[in-house]
Amino acid sequence: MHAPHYTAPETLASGLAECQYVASSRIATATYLGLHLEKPLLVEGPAGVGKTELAKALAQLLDVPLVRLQCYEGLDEAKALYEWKYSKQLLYTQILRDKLGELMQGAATLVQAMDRLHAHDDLFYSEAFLEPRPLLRALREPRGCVLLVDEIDKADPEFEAFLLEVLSDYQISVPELGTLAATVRPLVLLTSNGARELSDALRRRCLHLYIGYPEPALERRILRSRVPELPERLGHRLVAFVQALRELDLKKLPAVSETLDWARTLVLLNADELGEDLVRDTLAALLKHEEDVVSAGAALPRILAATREAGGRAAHA
Amino acid sequence: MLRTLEEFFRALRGSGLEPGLSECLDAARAAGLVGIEDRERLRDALGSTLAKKAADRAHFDEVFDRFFAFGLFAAAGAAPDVATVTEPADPQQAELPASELLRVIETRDQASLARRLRQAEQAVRLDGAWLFTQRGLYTRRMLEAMGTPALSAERSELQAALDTGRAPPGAAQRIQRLRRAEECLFEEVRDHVGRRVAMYGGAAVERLRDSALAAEPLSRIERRDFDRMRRLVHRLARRLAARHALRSRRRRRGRLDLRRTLARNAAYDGIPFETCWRRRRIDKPRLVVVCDVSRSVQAHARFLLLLLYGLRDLLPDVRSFAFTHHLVDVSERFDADPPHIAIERVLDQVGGTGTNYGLMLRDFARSELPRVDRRCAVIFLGDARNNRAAPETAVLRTLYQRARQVVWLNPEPRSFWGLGDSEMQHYAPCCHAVHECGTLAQLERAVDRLLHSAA
Repeated sequence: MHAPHYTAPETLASGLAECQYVASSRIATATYLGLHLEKPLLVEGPAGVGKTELAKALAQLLDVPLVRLQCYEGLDEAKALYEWKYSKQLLYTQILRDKLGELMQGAATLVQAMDRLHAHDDLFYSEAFLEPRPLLRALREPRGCVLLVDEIDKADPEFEAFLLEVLSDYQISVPELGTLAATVRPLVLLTSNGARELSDALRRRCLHLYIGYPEPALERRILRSRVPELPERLGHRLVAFVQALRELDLKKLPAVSETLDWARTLVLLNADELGEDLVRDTLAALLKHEEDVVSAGAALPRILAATREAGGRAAHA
Repeated sequence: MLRTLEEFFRALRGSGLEPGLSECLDAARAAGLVGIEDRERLRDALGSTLAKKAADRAHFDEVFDRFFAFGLFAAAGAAPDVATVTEPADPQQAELPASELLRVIETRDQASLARRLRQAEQAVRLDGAWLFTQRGLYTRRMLEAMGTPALSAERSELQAALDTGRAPPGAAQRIQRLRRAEECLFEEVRDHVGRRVAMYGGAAVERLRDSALAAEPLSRIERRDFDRMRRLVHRLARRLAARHALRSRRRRRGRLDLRRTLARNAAYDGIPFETCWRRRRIDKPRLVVVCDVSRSVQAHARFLLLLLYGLRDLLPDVRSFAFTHHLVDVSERFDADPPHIAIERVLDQVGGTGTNYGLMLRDFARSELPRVDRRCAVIFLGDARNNRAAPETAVLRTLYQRARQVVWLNPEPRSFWGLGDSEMQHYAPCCHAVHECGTLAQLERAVDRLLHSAA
C-alpha cells in the first residue's frame, strides 16, 4: 500500500481527523508504521473503543475499498479465501458434452483422445471458475485496499495458522493455478477482543496496538468531532460522568461508542443540563447489563455531584 | 544508534520479554522511520514492534524508561555549586590528564558522564553480566575504563610530593578534590552497574529459580514462592495444552467417504455433485478429579487443581471434588471465582484432619458412579492414608471396570506406599496407572501421560 502523502505520524493523524477519527499519538504512530513497514497491525482492546472504526477511517483516508472478513468459530479457508464453483464446472462439462464429442472425433486411439483432452483441461480450473472470498479479493484489488480481519480471536486456532501464510508473504497458493501474489499489498488490520489467547506466531508477524479507554481530553475531542451538535459544556460534564463510571466495578464498562450513543440521545432529547432524572432515564444507552444499571444507579448522586464540579471548572477555563 | 538499540534488545531479553530477530529488525526500521527526537514517539514505535501483548506493553514501558533514563548525580545532590569547585584557572592543572574527568564530576555534567558511562560500558561489555555476584568485578572494570587510575595516580603523586615537601601550592586541596571525585564516581558507577545487571540478568536468574522450584518437593514450597509457582503451573498448563491441541487437530482431518458419496450422487447419474467426508469424531473425555485436601497433602492438591484448571481449554468437562471425610463437589466454585481464590476457599472449607478414604469412596459410589462411563477419566490425588478405616476397595474396582481410566497420583515417594496406614497396596491394583507426583516435574509427566491416553 503506498501512502506517499503521509510522511509523519502527525500528518496521518490530521488526515484521520478529517475522516472524523480522532487518533491518539500512539494510534497514529502504530498506523504510520504499519503503512510504511508494510506489516499487519494487530489492534486489541475492549469492545467499542474504535478498533473497527480505525479501519474504516483508514480506507476512507487512503481512498481504497475496505474488505472485511468477519471471523467466527468454524470459519475455514473455503469461506475466507476462495472456492471453486463446482456446480458451474459440472454444468459446463454437461453443456459442452457435444463439443467434447466433436473434439474427440478423429482420435484413433485412447491415448490420442486423452492427449487432446489434456490440452483443454486447464479451462475448467481457470479464474472464471474461481469464487474469490475476502482474502483473495483483498489481494486482487488493483489499487490496494484496507483488509480488516475482524475479531480474529473468534476464529479457530487452525484458521489463525492458515492466516499466517497470507500475512507474511501477501500471497496465496491455489494448487490448480499456482501462486497468486498481491497486486498491491493491502494494509491489514486484525482486531481482537481477547476472547482467546492468540498464538505467538501471529503476534510476531504483526505490529501491536492496544487501544484502551481514552483520556478525558481525547474523549472530548472525539465527542466534538463525532457529535458536534452537543453543547461544549454539556460535553465536558458528560465525559467526566462517563470517566467516573469507568471507575466503578461494572460488568461491561461504557466505551467510546456508548459515550457517543449517549451524547446523540441527549442531543435528540434537547438536553442542556445533566439532571439526575434525565441520566437515570437514559442510562440504558450507556450500560448494557441490568446489574450495571442498578449498581450505577446507586452511585449516581455521588458521581453527578463530582462531575458538576468538573463541568464548572471547565466552564471557567 | 544501532549499537544502543542492540543493547536495548538485550536489556529487554534480560527482563523476560523475548523479541525475535524479525521483531528487532522491525524495531530498528521503525526507529529509523520516526527518528529519535521525540522520546514518546520512539517509545510508541518501539513498543508496537517489540511488545505484542497488552500486558507486555506495561513491562516494555518500564524497561524503556529504565534503559533510557539518565538519573545521574541523584544521590550527590542536584545543585552543583560551581563557584566553589572551580578554582582560579591554573594552566598547569588544566593539562593534567585527570582534569577533564574531574571537571565532569565536579560540575555534575550529566550529559558527559552519561556518555562516558556508555563508552566504558561498551568497552567492558557490561551487557554480558547477568549474575549479581559479578557486580564488583564489572564496577572495577568500568572505573578503570573511565579513567579513575589517572585520578588516583595524580593523587598519590601529589601526596608523595607533599610528603617530601616539594608540593606545588594548593596540593592539599587538590588531593581532597580528587578523593571526593573518586568516591562520587565510584558510587555512580556502582549504582549504574547494579541497575544494568538487574536489567540484563533478571530473566536468567528467574529461569534459574524456576528450574530449581520445579524440582522442589511440592510440600516444601513456601508461601512466598506461591506466586512464582502459580506462574510456573500456568505456563506448564499452556505448554501441555499446546502440545495436545496439535494432536487432536491432526485427528480431526477427514477422508473422502467414497461409498456414501457414490450413493448420494446416484440421482445425478453418478456425477459427484455432493461429496461426503468421513470425519472422525473426537470425543473429548470427561475428567473427574478427586482431591484429598487434608493437611498432609494440601500443597499438592493446590497445584494439581491449578494445573487442571489451566487445561480447561483442552478438556472442557472437568468436574472436581474435594474431601477430607465426605465428598464435596467444588466444580461450581471454580466457575464463580478465579482458580487461585477458589482453591484457597476450598482448602479452608473442606480441609481438615482425619482423612477417611473409605467414606469418600462410599459417597462417590452413591452420587458419581452412575455417571461414569467409557469416556470418563478419574484422577485421585492423595496419599491413601486412611487412618485404619475400611478401605472400600470394591468401589474402586467397579470404577476401574467402568471408566476409561483411573489414575492415582500419590505425592509420597514410592518406598513409603503401603507403610503404616497407607492403603496404597490395596488401591494400586484397581487403577490403570499410579504415579508419584512429589514435584512439579513429576506432576507434569503424570499429566502428560494422562492426556496421551485420554486424547
